[in-house]
Amino acid sequence: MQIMEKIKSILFLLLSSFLILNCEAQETPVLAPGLLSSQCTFTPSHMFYDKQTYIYIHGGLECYITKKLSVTGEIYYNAGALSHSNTFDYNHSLFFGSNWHFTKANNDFFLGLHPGLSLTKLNAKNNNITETSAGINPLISAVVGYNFFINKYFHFFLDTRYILGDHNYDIHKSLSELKFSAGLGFNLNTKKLQ
Amino acid sequence: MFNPNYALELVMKVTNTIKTSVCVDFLLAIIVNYGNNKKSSKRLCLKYLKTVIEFNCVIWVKQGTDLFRHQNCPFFKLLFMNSKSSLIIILFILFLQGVCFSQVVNKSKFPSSGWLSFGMRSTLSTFDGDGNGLGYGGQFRIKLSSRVNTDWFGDYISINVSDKVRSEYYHIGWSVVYYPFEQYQYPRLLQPYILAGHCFDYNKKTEMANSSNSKDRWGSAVQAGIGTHFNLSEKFDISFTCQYMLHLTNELDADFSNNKVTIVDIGENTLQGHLLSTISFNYRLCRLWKK
Repeated sequence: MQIMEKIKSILFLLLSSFLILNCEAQETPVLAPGLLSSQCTFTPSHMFYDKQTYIYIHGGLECYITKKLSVTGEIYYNAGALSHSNTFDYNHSLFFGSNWHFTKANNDFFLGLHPGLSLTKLNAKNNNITETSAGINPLISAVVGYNFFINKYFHFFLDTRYILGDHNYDIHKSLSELKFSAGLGFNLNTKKLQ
Repeated sequence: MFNPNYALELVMKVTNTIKTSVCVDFLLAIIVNYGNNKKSSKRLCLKYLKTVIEFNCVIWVKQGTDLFRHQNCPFFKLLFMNSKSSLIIILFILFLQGVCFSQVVNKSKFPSSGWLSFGMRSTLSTFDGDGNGLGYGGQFRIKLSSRVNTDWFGDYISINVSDKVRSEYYHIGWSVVYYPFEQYQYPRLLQPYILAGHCFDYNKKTEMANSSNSKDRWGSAVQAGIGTHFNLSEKFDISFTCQYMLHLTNELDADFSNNKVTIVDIGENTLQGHLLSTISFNYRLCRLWKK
């Protein structure tokens, strides 16, 4: 019984805090042209070629040109893999593109298309090669995501990115990958709200 | 019951939201003329249509067209004689309205020349002797007049040739972009164009497993194709372009025989090329000159 009461009180607190945040968000609409939004988080990925999970440090900066349209630049720094049989020593990538937003109050669902580049190097030992070389590969990616703007400084974000590309150095490898990002982001209105 | 005033309010809201009432009017016209069989509902819908037409008249008056200043003009009598004639007239009206809007846009918001745009691009190379490949690059545009733009680009394309050879293309060039429809600017979504131009072309083929086995060549190429801008805001557009690039130089070829990779320079100009499908994201930075 005590545990149930504790769970109920925690749920009540979470619900009330969510409602308070929501009320605050509705009072101060932040989604407007000129909004700058930045994010930094750890991102896990699933690479389809070797069925492995890689971890990235993900940073992004987004600028809203209109309430529905934004341009964005994002960088992924490869921080390692979960297993020791990783195909790549590193696979860093950089993207630039635009997102189309479907917004309601401070809820923001978006779709995006981002061309990019990756800097990759194969793991010599796991690929049975004596020496490997680093190379640059063009990429293209599609993004689906959701932002919730808590107030004029913070937002929660959640996005999924599908990447297409090829590594063409030493041995050909596909760079097709799915990346998941989530976390707390920072935002700032650079134009005065109407 | 049907309330014309409410319908007018509704139409005004919708129309103000999407700036032009073209789509709404067209859909309403279809609904009114083909979506109702009963006489009573047809009468109601005709009333509704009349409200829409009246609202359009308000817009025309605002835009300075003096065609329909009074509701009792002969045009209205003709309009409500039967549903088929009303549909034809509405289509004609929509055409006129579109022209009015586009002319207003051209004159007031978008001076036609001098714009400098900057953007990034992703290119898919197909129908190449080497195979299909993906590229990345950037471009800037300088708009010379309302119908002519110039596109200055550079890109890098990497192609996997049979999992054994890497074929890399570097392009630096320019294209002239011609807009057949001058009035198709923002807030119109699509702005089609044709383009043609020239570029410098560097190709390097390298055996993946042995980077010392490599050959390269410099050359020149011409390209031509079609495309369209998707005008998403006053200053931002996404462009899709499809163009064929013809190389005016000797080609490199990878030969795989006896498990050995040989890269050879074909001694004659074979006029080979590839189809480049490009998506680019462009932002208007500033206006370089004013008339």
